[in-house]
Amino acid sequence: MLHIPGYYEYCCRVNVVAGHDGLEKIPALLERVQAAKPMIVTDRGVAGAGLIDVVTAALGDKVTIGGVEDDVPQDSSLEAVQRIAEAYRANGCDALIAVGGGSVLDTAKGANIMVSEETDDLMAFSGVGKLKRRLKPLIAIPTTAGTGSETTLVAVIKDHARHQKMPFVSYFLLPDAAVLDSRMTLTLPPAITAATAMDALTHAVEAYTCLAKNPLSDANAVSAIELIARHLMAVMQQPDNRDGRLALAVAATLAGMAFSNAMVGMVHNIGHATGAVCGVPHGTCMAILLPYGLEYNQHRNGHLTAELLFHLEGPDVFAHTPSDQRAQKVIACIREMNQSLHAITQGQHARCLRETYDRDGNRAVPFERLTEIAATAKNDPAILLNPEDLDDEDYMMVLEHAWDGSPLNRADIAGFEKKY
Amino acid sequence: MPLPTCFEFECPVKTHCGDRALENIAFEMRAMNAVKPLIIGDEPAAQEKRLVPVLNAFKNAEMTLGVVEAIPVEDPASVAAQLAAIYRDKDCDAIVAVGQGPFIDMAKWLNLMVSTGEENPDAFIEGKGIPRSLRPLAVIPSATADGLELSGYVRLQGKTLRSVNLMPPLLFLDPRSVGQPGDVALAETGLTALTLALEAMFTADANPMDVVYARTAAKLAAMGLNGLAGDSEIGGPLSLTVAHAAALAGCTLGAGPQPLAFKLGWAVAETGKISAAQAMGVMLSYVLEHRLAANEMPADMLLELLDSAGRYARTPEGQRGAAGLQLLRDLLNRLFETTDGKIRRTLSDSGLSLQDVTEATEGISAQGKGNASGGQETIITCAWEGRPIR
Ligand SMILES: [Fe+2]
Repeated sequence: MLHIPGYYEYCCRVNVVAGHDGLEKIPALLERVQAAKPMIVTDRGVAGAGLIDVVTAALGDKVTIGGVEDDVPQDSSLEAVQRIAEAYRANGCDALIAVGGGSVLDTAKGANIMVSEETDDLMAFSGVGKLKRRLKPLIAIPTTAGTGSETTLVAVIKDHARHQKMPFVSYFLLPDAAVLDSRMTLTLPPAITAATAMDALTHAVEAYTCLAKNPLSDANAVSAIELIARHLMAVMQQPDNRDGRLALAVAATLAGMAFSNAMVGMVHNIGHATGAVCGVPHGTCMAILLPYGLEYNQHRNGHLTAELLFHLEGPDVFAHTPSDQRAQKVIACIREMNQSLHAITQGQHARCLRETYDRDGNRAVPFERLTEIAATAKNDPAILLNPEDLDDEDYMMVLEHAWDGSPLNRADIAGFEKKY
Repeated sequence: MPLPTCFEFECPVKTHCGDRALENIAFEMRAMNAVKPLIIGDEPAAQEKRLVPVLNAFKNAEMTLGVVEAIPVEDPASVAAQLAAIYRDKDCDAIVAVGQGPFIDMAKWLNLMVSTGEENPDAFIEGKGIPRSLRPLAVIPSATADGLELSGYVRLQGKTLRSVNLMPPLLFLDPRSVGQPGDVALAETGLTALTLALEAMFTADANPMDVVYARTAAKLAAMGLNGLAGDSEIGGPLSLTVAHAAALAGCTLGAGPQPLAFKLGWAVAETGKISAAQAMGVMLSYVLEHRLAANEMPADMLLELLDSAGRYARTPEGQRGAAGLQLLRDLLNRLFETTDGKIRRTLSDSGLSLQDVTEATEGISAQGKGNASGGQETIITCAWEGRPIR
């Protein structure tokens, strides 16, 4: 069904190139923007996995690579931005290619501001709408199928010396092109494939069920959901399934388009806090929390969740599920997905917070720290577009259930009582 | 729908749709570094005073505006040249175009001229030489659209330029600026949008990103047309819904090749006996049916688009395509009734002979994105008679 709000905006100006040979299209993309000497920005993990070699081989002799900066830290940093900008200038580059996840792309965006504005003072451009013109061409090549950061117009750079996060928001920060190539995710380990796909699924589901939805973001969302539903398990069972890998990459970008226009809700809200307090990877938090978000909001948006059954499970299941049980069925279906992913990854994919571990094998989220997570979540802006409010008790109730993996008792939700 | 193994998608249009949408225009101009827009409107916009809310929206923007109203479109090249002179004289840095159809072609051409300094359209044939960033162009379309307003097409004196770079970066759909055209004009806009959208959906190489726009445009068009055909529940003002559908249908087309029913519609309209929109509206179900019959494309989702997921799911698998086509034909029949026969159900309804239609469409090739191979004769004959292919 079409849901048309009184007013909406929608924009997705990224040029998407997708295919098993997407990388080979880069020379043409560069030519279109009159660039011939790109600098490649990436991190050690991506370079170590041999992906930069795949990219450079695909570029062949059609493009002169102006340098490879493979030292972007896990959280983008001002130093990395400055170093890349210097190398860019020294080598006479005229474009940037970011190969990696969110922090690589953010770092490349930061460096792009410095080289395009010919400034050493990045801070002067921090904030909303400070950029007034096109930057140098930037091509994003995601190496996971999840974050959707190739569709966003923001960048966050950390100034570690001043303990500050500098946000930048502008349409000029959208990459000129996003290149989705199945080779970039072919060797992604199963647990990361699972977690990042669940992040993408969460982007789509929250965009569809939260307050800032619009008909185009809805269409993005349902396409993403259909692709993930159809291909995730196939890829988990057969990791070198190229068509499946490409489908998941496309789904992640579609989901990115959905949430960069329609925003997210409490799943991201609590997930951000869980990541910040306990260091649990973002996708893992999303997979665990998604069913709880839907369950918690069900009295507000159950009719929307119910519509997703058609896309998640197909027409037959949809037709055979009574309409008042469809939302519940969607939630059950996502729990089943987590269960299957848990089994396929031999337990690496956590189904509840209790099952998450840090690098040393210790429990990542001790029960005692849930109050801290709740307190952090309260101050995260992602909650603003959630259909139902959460007070302290609500946060704790959701977290405690997500910790041990038991479904919510919906009668306990404060807002639920208010409504009925 | 299977995923193509290779595709490219680009849509530079930012959509603003709904109440007070126009109030965002100055902000968006500024975000694109423009402060001196030339605001131009066509004759219908002047008659219906649709420029008023646009100018009001700039009131507190502290921008210098150039305004030219009631612009005729009979001689677009010389009109564009005159406007280019005004644009340069006033030192403008952006264009806001309020209008429809050929007027928007003219506005895009004007933008290309002032952005590049080139005055000869031949310089841009095949999209060559059209730079990526032209001056900011905002389009404020009416509900009497021909579907190409937001596309990457410019038709000028028998020539066609097309490029993604010609797609307007800013779209504003506001209840105050879409106008209140009569039912026939609205239905024609809706049929055009439906044709562009459905043909884009039911194409063998449709990619999921094109489908986002196509799906939304198809559902909006179906909603608007059902409203015109007498359904009470359409949710939202009818002309906004239809204008919305047409704008997103233009985004769907982008700079891609025009689909078959769309091209056939324009060709048949050359006879002067039926509008392009009505002709394509008639031919649409036959083009889709032909694709279905040739098994080139499962038209199953038609049912979901025109009705609902529930109806689709309840209909047995083998019957969905046929049920969707029937729904499309029923819609046209209902429009025929509610407009006292002004919206045609068949090509013969318009007084055309089969030979007229055949001659008018002779030069149209079925080649191109998603067009059925062959079968044009069957499509035309059946659309003329109003008889299903099977
Ligand atoms: Fe996320």
